[in-house]
Amino acid sequence: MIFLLKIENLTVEFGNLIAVNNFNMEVKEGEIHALIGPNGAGKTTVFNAIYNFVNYKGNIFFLDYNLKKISTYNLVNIGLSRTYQNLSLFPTLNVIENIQLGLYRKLKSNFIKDIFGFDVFKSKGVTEKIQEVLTLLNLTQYIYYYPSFLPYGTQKLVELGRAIISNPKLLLLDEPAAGLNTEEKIYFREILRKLRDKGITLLIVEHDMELIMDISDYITVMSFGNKISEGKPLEIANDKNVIEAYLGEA
Amino acid sequence: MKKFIPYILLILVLFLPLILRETPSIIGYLNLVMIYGISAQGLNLLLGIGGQISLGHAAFMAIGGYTSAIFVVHYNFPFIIALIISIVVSAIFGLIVGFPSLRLKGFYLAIATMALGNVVGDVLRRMSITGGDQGFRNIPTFDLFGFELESYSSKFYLILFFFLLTYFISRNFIKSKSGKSLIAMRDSEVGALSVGVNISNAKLLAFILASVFAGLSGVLYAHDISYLHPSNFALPLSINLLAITIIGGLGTLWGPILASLFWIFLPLIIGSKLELLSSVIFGIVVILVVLFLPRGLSEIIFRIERNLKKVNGI
Repeated sequence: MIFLLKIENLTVEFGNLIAVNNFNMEVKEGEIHALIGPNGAGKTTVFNAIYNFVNYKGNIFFLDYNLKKISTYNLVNIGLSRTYQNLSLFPTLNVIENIQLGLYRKLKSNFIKDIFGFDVFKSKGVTEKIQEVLTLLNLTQYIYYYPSFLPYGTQKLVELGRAIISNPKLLLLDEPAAGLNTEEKIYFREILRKLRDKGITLLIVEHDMELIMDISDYITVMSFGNKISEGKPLEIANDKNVIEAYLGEA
Repeated sequence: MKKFIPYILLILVLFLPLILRETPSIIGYLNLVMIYGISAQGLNLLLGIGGQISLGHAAFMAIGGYTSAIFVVHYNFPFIIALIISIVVSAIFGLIVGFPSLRLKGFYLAIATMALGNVVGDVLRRMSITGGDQGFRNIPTFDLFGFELESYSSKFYLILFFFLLTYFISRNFIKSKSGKSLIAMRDSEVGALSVGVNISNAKLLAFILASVFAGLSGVLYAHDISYLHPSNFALPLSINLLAITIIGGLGTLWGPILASLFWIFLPLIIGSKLELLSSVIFGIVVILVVLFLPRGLSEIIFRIERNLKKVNGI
């Protein structure tokens, strides 16, 4: 298996608008792969297609699975995980509860255990696992805080923690650096590298070119639903099509 | 100190029938408080924890109450067996009513559940086994292995048992993995989906739980009051139960208990002096609670807890 994720002829239409047009992409195991493009290029729609949130033509393969046939809630079981552009934390649960829920499918419980107060999140090995993620993301001091009391950058870390605690093979990050200050961005960059070193393949949608050029192994560029270029960061930086798409025709 | 408060409260509650032996009618009202409290606890799990609205919650009570009454009166089943059958029937009914929730949200779900509630009322009215529009009369009291519970205080202990049981179940459920999955669904459906919560199952679970609690409450009501009429379980009761859940504080454990106390006793207290104004005063108090206690009446418990912590220097 060379490709972890393979998107074949993906087309997504919203009425008359073609959001993604006959798009092909392959993500190799172990790389940080960036998906970039101007606003409205269709990047998030690609993520939403992977997650079955939109109807699409074409095929998306992850490992040996055709994702069209897999319900969204089962994706975490086969090793996919993601964060969202606008965060999707659980505001009435505190940080540690939010992160614990990332293990929802890994922990077995039943209704009888549940109503007799057996807490699977405190069972053997689980506490250590949670502690490991909290330490990695430097969240230990915030565990009893509710997300809304935390700075935006910290909330993003909490969502990331929830996404990585299930040990995904592929992690989709939708604009992880948006809204972060410079200091937070530097910290985030280090964390993304650490995740790759732990063996997690990353597919990132992002606007921050400095960050992308720095950490990506491979970049795919979209514009108006089409793939206009792909390659290593240096190749992309000098690609005529890409410069045109971002800056308009010279 | 704080640790002992629940036990002290419990002992106090256990002695209530003795303390109030001069005024047994108050025990009768307390029985109703607990019955509606159980039902509201169910709605609290559905709405407060699962985020799914129901305007047909009273119909779940009717299903439980009528099922038990039919099996005890027409088929001579022992109360305990009838109770178990009623709970199973309620669970199945909850599952059926839960299906629309898979497609509908918010107002639309409210309307759909309201319609289902009306259907239940209509069917009960037209059937002969339920006593139809005459109501179901002469339902015997609770019969526990040959012991008939006649007095308010003997019923009190049985109802208290179920009341504490449902409290215990709710408390543990909310903290459990399944409970958290409902909270996750309520807070963010996409977030819940991405951690692997099967949203359809979670919604159905919420409806089944709500229906079982309401069904149990209906069974207790039937044998406590000994009379059932479809109109007792129509839309007004559903709305009152919704109000109780909200006044108490959505998603809080104490909310349904405090609010049903409030709902049963406040009209009695003000009604005895200002009969004409009682509903007006009740309405004003409800508005004030909603305005000034964001977490409902259970806010009072939170504040007491906080002050106790201060006293203890924690």
